[in-house]
Amino acid sequence: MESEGHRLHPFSWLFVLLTQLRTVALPLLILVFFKRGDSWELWGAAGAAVLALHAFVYSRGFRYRLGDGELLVREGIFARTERHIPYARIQNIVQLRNPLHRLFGVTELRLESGGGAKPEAVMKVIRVADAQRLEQVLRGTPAHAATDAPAHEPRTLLSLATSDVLLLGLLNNRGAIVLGAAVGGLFQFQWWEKDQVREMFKLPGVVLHDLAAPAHLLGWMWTIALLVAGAFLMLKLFSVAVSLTTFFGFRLVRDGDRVATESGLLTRHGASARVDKLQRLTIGESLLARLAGRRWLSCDVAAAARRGDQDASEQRRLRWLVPLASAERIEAVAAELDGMPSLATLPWRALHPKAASRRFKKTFVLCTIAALAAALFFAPLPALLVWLVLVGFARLEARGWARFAAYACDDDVLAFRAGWLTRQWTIARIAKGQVLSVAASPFDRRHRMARVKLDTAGAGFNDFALDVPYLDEREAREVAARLRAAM
Amino acid sequence: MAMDETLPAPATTPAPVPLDAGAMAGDVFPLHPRVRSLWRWQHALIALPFSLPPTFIAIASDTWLLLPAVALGALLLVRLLDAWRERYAKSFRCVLLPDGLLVRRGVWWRSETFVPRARIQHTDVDEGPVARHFGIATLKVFTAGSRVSELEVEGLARDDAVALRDRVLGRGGKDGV
Repeated sequence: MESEGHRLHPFSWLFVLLTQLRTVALPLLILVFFKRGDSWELWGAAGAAVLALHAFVYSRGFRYRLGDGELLVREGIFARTERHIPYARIQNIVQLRNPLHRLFGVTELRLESGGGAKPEAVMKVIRVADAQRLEQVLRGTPAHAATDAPAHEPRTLLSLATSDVLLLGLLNNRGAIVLGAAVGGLFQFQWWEKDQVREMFKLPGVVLHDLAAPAHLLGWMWTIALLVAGAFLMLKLFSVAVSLTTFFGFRLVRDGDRVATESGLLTRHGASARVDKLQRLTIGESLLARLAGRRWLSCDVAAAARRGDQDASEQRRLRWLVPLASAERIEAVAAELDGMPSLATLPWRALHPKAASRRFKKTFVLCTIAALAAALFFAPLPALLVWLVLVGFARLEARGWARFAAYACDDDVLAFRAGWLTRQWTIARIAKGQVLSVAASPFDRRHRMARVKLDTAGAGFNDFALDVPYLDEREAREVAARLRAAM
Repeated sequence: MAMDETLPAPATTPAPVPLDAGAMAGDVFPLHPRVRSLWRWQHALIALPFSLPPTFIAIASDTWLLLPAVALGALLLVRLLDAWRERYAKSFRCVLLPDGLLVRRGVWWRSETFVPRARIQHTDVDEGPVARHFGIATLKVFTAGSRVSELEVEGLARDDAVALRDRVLGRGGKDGV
């Protein structure tokens, strides 16, 4: 690089060091706390000093320069790499600002292309103003030309009020994981062995013991109901807390040919991607959300997501376009994303008339096998009761699922919707399709059915991005032929 | 392209299941004639771990009469797998179409998978030691997809695999990412 280029923020070494320390924090802590009096402390300190020196030298050596049509990055201490990243190749921009970043007025910036195992560049850390300037340059350079695009003012497509975020917390169960971890953590301490805790539980224990007599069946039921209600309350409390920390101050912004989101209470996450790089849109609603008249909208972006590498960086990518809003609002937002068609105007077609019975049969067989096993090894009567309830539920589910299920295929998009209590719509442009497949199981063939699957990038490894089951075989072929022509 | 006589000719294939019957006009890449020998090896390797424990039990308990039974069982397993593979071979059809690669296969769970040329990111031609002995190779086609980022076409003649690789690549177009 002929000119010096830009450096990272002078305090970058601190953030690099903290990241490195995080990976060795546990052994270090163990050393400090359990090897007291030994020379281990000294070794630990020496290790930390080496890391700090490394972080310092690395951060000082890091340079980036906004070149003509490409970003130049130079990094490394002994083995220096100089990377030329064409602006057009940078698909995802991810920003992270935790409270420490915010204290220093800096941000961590990650630039990702569509493939490869790791981000093209990680700038840890630069000033917020510098990051903004960089993003502006990237934004102003669409795939075609830099000059003919008029400088668009960023438009806010959606911003969530705090009340919306609280409602989001009440409607979802995102707190389940945190709650589970908290309960797991509590059990680590074996609190039931502690005398004080035992004292605390003595009185309720006696009451419970009295209630346990057959005469107090009602009391038992009350107790269980209370416990369930308590657990539910805790779950919602944690969900609200999780929603607040992740989605507080959520904003969705359309800026030139990029779409960006920003949110977070303590740690602010920012992510952006080119609109034409959005792969698949998913709209969902749970039963609770439907009662509240709300839905959510998420998207996939193409990015390096290798198997077993679904780390934090994936969660940070552009995903939630609309965490919660009314159906009309979501339609309006989707329309802004390069004219995604409205769900209402798509030419929806129902699945095969036997879809409901096929779906029911599948659950029925599974339930029956499980119930038979339970009846043989445990008690026949309860097994029968549980079987009846499950089968009844499965029947309702299959009917409701099939009544709502439909697909739509025109020359531009393929869409699929399904669900009963929780409903989901998935939609993708056919041009984003990577692989097309028509598949038939033995059961499909018995009923002359088939399924059509279309895979896009960035959809995760579990299933095809769009998987339309229970289609009449000939219809499936027609759809596939149409998709093939449009791919 | 060497057509294998034992494979059904395209005309007799029961209801060819293309994505579009009219557009099946492409080059068919058949399985290598000796792929059955390769599969036989593989099936023997599958049968081996199943037959080892009973063999040990037979030897340890001095019931030597069991040994022929074990051998018979292993043979039966290999024959069953062979029969399944025969049906698989019948179902297999790999066609290079003007716009992409179409692979049909499956005995019970049947599928037809189509990868447009422009979506192919890169390709591999793999040969195991035994497969190399028979002149057989596996063509792997990689896309940017999520679930099927890798389409494997097994049992092609090595020359066919290389030819297919050379012809399936190239031609620009958008990669859809």
